[in-house]
Amino acid sequence: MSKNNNIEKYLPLSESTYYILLMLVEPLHGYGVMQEVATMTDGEVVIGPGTLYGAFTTLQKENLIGLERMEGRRKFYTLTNKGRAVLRCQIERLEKMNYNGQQVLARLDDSA
Amino acid sequence: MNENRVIQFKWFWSWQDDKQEAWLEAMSQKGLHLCDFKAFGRYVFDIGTPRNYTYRLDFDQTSGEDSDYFQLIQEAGWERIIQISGWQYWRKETHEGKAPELFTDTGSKIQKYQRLLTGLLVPSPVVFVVVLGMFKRFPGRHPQWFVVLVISIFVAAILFSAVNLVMVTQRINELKRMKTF
Repeated sequence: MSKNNNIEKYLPLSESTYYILLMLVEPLHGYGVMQEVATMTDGEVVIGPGTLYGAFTTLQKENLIGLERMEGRRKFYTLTNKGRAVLRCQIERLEKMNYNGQQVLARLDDSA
Repeated sequence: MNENRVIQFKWFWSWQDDKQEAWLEAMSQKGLHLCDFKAFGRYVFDIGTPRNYTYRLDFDQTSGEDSDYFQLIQEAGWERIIQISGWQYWRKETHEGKAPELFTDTGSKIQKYQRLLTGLLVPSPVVFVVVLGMFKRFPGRHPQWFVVLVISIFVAAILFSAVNLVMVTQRINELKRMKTF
C-alpha cells in the first residue's frame, strides 16, 4: 500500500479537495472552480468561497497546484506533477471503494 | 448621528459567531441592515426595507481589501460590510430560503476557529508586558490600592481570555467529532 508515502499521506482527499483537483486538470481560476463543480455535480456539491480559498492556500503550499498565469486580477491555477499523482491515486482508491461497496450491496439485495 | 441610522448595543463572545449571524439576519428582516460598528459593542444599522440576507462571519486578520481572499468571496456575490478585530462580516442575499455559505465543509470550519484561537493567543503576552510596564513606569513603593487595581485588571484579563480559549477549543473539538463520520 505504501508505494509512495509522499502521495499517500494526502489520501483520502475530502470531497471538496477532490473536486477542486478534478477541475484543475485544466488551468482555471477560483471562481471558475466553484461554478464548474456545481455544474458537474448538478448542484449537489457546492464549495463555498471560504472553503475554496483555504483549500487553494493549502494545496499551493503543498505544491499540489501551482499558479499558471494571470488574467487581470484573476489567477489561474493548475495541477503540478505531484497534484496529478495524488489525484490519480485518489481515483484508484475510489474505484476500489466503489467495487467493494457494490459487492456488499449485491449481498444485501440477495438477502432482502 | 444620521437620522436613517440606529445604534444597538449587544454583547457576543468570540465563539458565538452563529448566534451573531442569526441576530443580524433577524435585524435585516426588520429592515435594519448592519453598516458600521463602534466601540463597546455598538452595532450601527441603516434603516431600510426588510430583506432576506445571510450574514457570515469569518476570522481573517491578514487579508487586505485587494487580496485574493477578498476577490474570491466578492466574485461569489458576497459583500464585505465591516471588520472588527479580525472578524470579517460578509453578507449575501438569501435565495429561495437557502442560505449561501462561506464554508461548506467541516475541515474549513475547523480551520476558521484555529485561526481565531491563534488570534486570541497572540495578545496574551502583550497584556503581560503592559502590566509589567505599569510597574516599571512608576518605580518605588506602590500604594496598596494601585497594586490591587493592577493585579485585578491582570487577573480579569487572564480569566477573560481563558474562557475564550476554552470555549473556542470546545467548538473545535465538537467539529472534529463530527468529522469522524
